[in-house]
Amino acid sequence: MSRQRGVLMKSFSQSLGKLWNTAWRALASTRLAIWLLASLGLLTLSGTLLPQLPAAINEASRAMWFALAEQKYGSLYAFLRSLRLFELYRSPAFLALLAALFVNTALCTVNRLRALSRMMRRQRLEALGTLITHIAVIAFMLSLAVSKGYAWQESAVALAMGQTHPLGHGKALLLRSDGFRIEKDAQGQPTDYIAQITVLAGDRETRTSSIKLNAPLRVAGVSVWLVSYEPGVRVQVRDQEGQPLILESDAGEGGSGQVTLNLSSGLALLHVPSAGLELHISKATESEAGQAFYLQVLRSGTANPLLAEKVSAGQEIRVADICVTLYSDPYVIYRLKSDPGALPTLLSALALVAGTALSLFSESEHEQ
Amino acid sequence: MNGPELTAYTIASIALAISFALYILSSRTPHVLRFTLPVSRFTNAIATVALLSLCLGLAWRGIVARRWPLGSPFEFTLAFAASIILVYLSLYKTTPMPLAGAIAILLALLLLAYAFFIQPEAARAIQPLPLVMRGIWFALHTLFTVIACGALAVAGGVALLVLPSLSRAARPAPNEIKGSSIVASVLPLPALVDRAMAVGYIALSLGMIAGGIWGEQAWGEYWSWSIKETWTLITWWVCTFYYHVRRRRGWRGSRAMCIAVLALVAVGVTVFLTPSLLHWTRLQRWRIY
Repeated sequence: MSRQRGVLMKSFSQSLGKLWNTAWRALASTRLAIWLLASLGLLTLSGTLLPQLPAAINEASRAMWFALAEQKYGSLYAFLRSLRLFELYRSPAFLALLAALFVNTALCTVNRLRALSRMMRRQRLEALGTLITHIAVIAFMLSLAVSKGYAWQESAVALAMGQTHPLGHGKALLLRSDGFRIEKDAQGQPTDYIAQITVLAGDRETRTSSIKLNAPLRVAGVSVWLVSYEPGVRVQVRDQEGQPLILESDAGEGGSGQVTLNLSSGLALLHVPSAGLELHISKATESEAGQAFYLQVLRSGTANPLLAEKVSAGQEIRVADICVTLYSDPYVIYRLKSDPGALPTLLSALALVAGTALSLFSESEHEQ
Repeated sequence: MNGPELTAYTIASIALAISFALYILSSRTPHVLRFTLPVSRFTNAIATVALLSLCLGLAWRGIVARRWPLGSPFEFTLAFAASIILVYLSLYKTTPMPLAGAIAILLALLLLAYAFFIQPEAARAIQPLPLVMRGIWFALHTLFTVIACGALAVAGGVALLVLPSLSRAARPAPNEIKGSSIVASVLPLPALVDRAMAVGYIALSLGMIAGGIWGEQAWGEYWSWSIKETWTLITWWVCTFYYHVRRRRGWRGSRAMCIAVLALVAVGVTVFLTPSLLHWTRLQRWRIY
């Protein structure tokens, strides 16, 4: 009885071993790699025939995007959306194919590693190149996974001059925007956009630098890009004796005697509670004399302005016992990003190219 | 376009036309004008003149515009033509066959015709580039990409040329001996396709890496799945596919050549059709992205 069981166990383990070997061979095979590459190619191609939902998009924009897609594709829309064809490169099908390619490459690489010493003995450089390429593919995919899991970004941080923003998650650093200028050529065309920034550790300035287009700042694992700028106005309000007055804006900005307001929406409202006044400020067109603003001063709760005129930047206006001065102070839009997978991704991509080159060109020489 | 630049492109066009005629003549009438060493040297020298003229024209354009001269579609098309000649002349010694030269030069001529007769007049004017298109990584990205395009075009063009003969070799007619006549004459060409594909694959990979670095520095993104990027990736998939199948039983020969032709098609779509695809897939009134 026990002998029979032993024979059965042996035959079972042999079958299991055969099954394992068959599965391993199939999963590590070049045939599977070919199928996966073809499928990925076709799927990638189909994604270019339909609009793709942008990755960084808020809920409202997303709903609007899908409404427009429905308008464009009509009765086909529901079918296309159910197949995730509008988000193809994030779809389970695409990611599953990539995962399968990863497994295939990894198993194939294990097989190649087993044969590495034989390759080295025979001085087969092309085989070594292929091995490097495959290891690089695995490293590349792992690096992408690290990026997916651990990268973070703040895509639009708007800072006026002197304003600060925490630099990253859990880092005791602050980013302060110190200034912004546009360099222009003789024809008045912009030749560069430059933002001046300071990195602060508490009150201590640790680094002062400028950021240009195509030249982000790298600091403590965080990259800072200059993305764009928005019109802004720095409003200075004092009483007749020159004492600063408390100011409150509708956007939540507040200060004593001075506040900076974002004019990207066209109009900014500022309250001077102690004087019972409201200031309505909008941007006027830029003239040769410099930046100008439209300023309206009203008693709170009334509709008739005490003053409504175009004011040049730096010009002092006296109205209803207060002195108002407006200065141009654009908001600079920064992008903050930290991606621990970026460098490994780049290095593995370079290794991939190096391995491929070794494989292809040593093979050509060998043939010659 | 200024005088010296136009002169350079005119010289390039004439030189290309002459070298094309000579390559064709050499391949069609081997007994009258055999493609012997002096003739091949002369033909290649003329092709080199075309290459240098195109490069000088582009360099002049760059000097006048004070920028890297591979920024507009017109400039890229001219550089694409130059790259085809460069790749062919570099690989010529591996397979010195006039037919391959003829097809490479024909492709370069077609590109010049496209640049001067199909692209709109405005596209030929020297324009300033957006500020973001500057720096060493943008320059490297366009340089590697244009070399890749040239190499894949040579590979695809030559593959297209060999395909019928390889198919015939695989299925010879009853009265035809396998490996005879025309079939035998094109047999070395797949080796040229292989090398051109290798150059294209490596250059394309380097171009994608340089483009990724440029994108990261400019926008903070290595990759954004734009239609052009995606078609570049498709071209890369096709090249990867080629290197996985070219030695496999059932894929050697004509099937592998079909993949090389597919790489040429992918390059064509990437360079010329992506703006139309973008227009086609754009959602109406969607202005945020």
